Amino acid sequence: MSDMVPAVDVSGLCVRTRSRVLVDSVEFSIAPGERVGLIGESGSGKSLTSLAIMGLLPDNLTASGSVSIAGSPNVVGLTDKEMAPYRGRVASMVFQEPMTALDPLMRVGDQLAEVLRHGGNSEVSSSGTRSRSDLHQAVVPGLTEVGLPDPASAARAYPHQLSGGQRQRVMIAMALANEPALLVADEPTTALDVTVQAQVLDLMVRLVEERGAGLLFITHDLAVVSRVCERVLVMLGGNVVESGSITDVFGSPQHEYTRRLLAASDLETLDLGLPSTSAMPSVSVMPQEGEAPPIIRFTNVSKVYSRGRTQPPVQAMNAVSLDIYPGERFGIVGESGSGKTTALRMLTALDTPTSGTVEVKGLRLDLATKSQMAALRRNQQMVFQDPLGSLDPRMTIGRIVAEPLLALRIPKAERVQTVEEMLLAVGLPADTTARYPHQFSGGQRQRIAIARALVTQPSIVVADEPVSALDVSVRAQVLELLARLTTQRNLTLVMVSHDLAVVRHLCHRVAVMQNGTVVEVGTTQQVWDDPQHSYTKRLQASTPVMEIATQT
Amino acid sequence: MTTYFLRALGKLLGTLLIASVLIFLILRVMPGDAATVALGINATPDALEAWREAHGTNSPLIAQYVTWMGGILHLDFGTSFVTGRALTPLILDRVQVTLIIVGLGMVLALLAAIPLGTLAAVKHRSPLGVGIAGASQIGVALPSFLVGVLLVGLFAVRLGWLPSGGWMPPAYDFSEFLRRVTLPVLALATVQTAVMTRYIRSAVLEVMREDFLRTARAGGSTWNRALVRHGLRNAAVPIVTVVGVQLASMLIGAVVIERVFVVPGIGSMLVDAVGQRDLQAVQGIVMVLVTIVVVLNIAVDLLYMVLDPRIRLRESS
Repeated sequence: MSDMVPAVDVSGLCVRTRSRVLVDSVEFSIAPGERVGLIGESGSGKSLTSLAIMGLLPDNLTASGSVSIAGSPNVVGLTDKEMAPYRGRVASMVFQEPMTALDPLMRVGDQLAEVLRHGGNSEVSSSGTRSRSDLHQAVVPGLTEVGLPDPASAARAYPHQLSGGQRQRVMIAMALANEPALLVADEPTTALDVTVQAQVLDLMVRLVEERGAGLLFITHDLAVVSRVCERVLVMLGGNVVESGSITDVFGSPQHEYTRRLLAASDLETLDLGLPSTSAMPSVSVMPQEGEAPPIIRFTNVSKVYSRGRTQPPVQAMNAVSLDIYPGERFGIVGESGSGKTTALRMLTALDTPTSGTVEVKGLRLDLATKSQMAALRRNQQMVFQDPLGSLDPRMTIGRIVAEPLLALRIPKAERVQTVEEMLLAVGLPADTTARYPHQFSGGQRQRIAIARALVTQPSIVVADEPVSALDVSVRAQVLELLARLTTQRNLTLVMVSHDLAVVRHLCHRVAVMQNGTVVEVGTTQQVWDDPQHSYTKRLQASTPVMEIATQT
Repeated sequence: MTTYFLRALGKLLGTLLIASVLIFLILRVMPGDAATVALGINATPDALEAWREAHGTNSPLIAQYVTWMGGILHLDFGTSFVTGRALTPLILDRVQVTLIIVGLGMVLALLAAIPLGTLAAVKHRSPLGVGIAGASQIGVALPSFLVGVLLVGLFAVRLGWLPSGGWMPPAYDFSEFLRRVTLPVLALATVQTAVMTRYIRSAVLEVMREDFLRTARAGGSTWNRALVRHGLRNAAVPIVTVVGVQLASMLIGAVVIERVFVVPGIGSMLVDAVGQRDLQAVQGIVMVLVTIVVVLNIAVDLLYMVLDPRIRLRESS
């Protein structure tokens, strides 16, 4: 292929329902070997654009305009059958959810072989007469290339036997199996742990570079784009509002929306009431150890989950000791399987330790009476990760927020008033009460969840990944809200997150967990600026950071 | 895998043991005295007592249960209180008839419902798909005996092609068996086709939204190919459950069809035995039905393992 022919050339691409235009006249072109990012919030049309290129739009949407892949005639409007030969061979795609993107009932090797067969690969094309082990032999090189530790056994594995990162490697192997001219990646690492994300991103960039293929990389994460791509397109409401090299767009954004997006993702500019880097280290909002007794204390907490007679038990927590002081914002950071969620379950008494004790306000949870537990639960409320999943879709906001008050037998008039005050405090209009969760955006829903948590006037709030399901622009607002409310109400906040960057900006102190143990505890500043443990160093290095200085 | 089978076998035996105790006890507490029913209300107390002595209904419950279970372990269900004949050959004959009708009915229903349900899902926006879905809605609401009566009216009375009822064991006269089995099987299958079409449609619709179908298409499969290769097997998992439940309820509900077509199945035998207070026959029949249902459930569990590696690997590890 000559360098003159772009990997993909999109012009005047529109996607519409019968009544609405969702993608409006999008134009761009990607040269062979070029890596282009497509950023925007949920609903901006970035995923629809990629699906339209691949001819994979849901059938209630129609595309118009022109898309040429590697010099092909216009593929927009082709039937499924006409489009199929392009997919996987000329253009291929990696999707966001590694958990659901592979057929759970089919061996990984068979799924990869299927793609090879579509590409006319002779080694697998006569698979009808070949044995399964021959077939798996043929896919081993592809699985080796994406860095799977044991490619031969990975070929025989079913998807559920692989980790999220391994599945995403398999997806990449499938996408690149037939040497396509264009690779479309739709949030390929959003569901992965940061250290795994870093590896998968590096792998993808390397393989695309080696092949000289064009890459269209869709993400909401600006830091990831700046790491992977050379050029970026910013989408808003179905339009590309700005495009150019990463340095130009991030360095001197022209469009107002891009500026807002950049400001929101740059947590540095956020003032969440933490002692700033330049301030005197001794003058600190953070309560000092020894001043007051800890409000939460983990002493040598271990948790072992047994998995039946045949599988070895899992040590989810191993001798964890932590002290959290009143008024402190405390972060627990770790990747999946680190034990951070188990720690939350212990703290909220949803689970009991195998050994060791958890104390809240001097009360040992394992010795607490029923009425003490009830009082404690009122005093300690939770905010969950998925604001839509954790709000009952058939209840009005008023009832959702009032629900914790019902248990306290508070009279109706007082309840209504408390709820309205609480909604105002989280920045929602009081007339919110009559509406339902689906009528709100993700950020608003998380505000509602925070209102529900705070309505009983608790002194401890436990938040499980409170902003990781939110768009960047909303994330900053919710963090600000959490910071303001915890300060105003003198709350103790315990936050679990996979994102060291978020914890760094919100929390006074942080515990880093790995494989059930706390490997490092300290002020967030210490831990970020001078990590002691090798795992913390790795975590910090893997956390994507915007590499371009903004001049807003 | 072996431990799984052993565990399944243990579960089967345990369930049957509990079921046998329950069946036995429930029948004992039901009102109505077997001796009075057998001999009529004018029988003398001496005659009644002699009957009870002869049939063992006056011995302690435990002893009665042990005798009954001892017989069952040798596949002997005892003798009927009413006719005095051995129950085992009778029950086996009758259950065979019902199993044939129900089995053929389900096979026929699946042969029709799998393509119909899949088509209804794939074309769910077009008039064809909506039409199939609507027709299956109506079919679900039809009672099978009504379908039976309509079929008799059309094929037996008006056209005279097939007999309106009666039975012929396949071993004696196979072509006559076919002529007699057709209408009852059609009546059962019509309603089951409607029921299964609905379930298959929604299972396929569900699977059509799965990400892995999109992945297969992104890898070069056409939509239809992806659906056949990846979709149908995934859709089969929930459908297997429904087939198991439907078979069990068809077995029990077959009595209606047996009555309409005058077929000597287990259902009508059960209803007759209950009417005659023939305790011995009732508990034998119910025990056989329970055994079939429990075995069906285990077969469904095993099918899951064949279909879904996640279940297979969890159970066998």
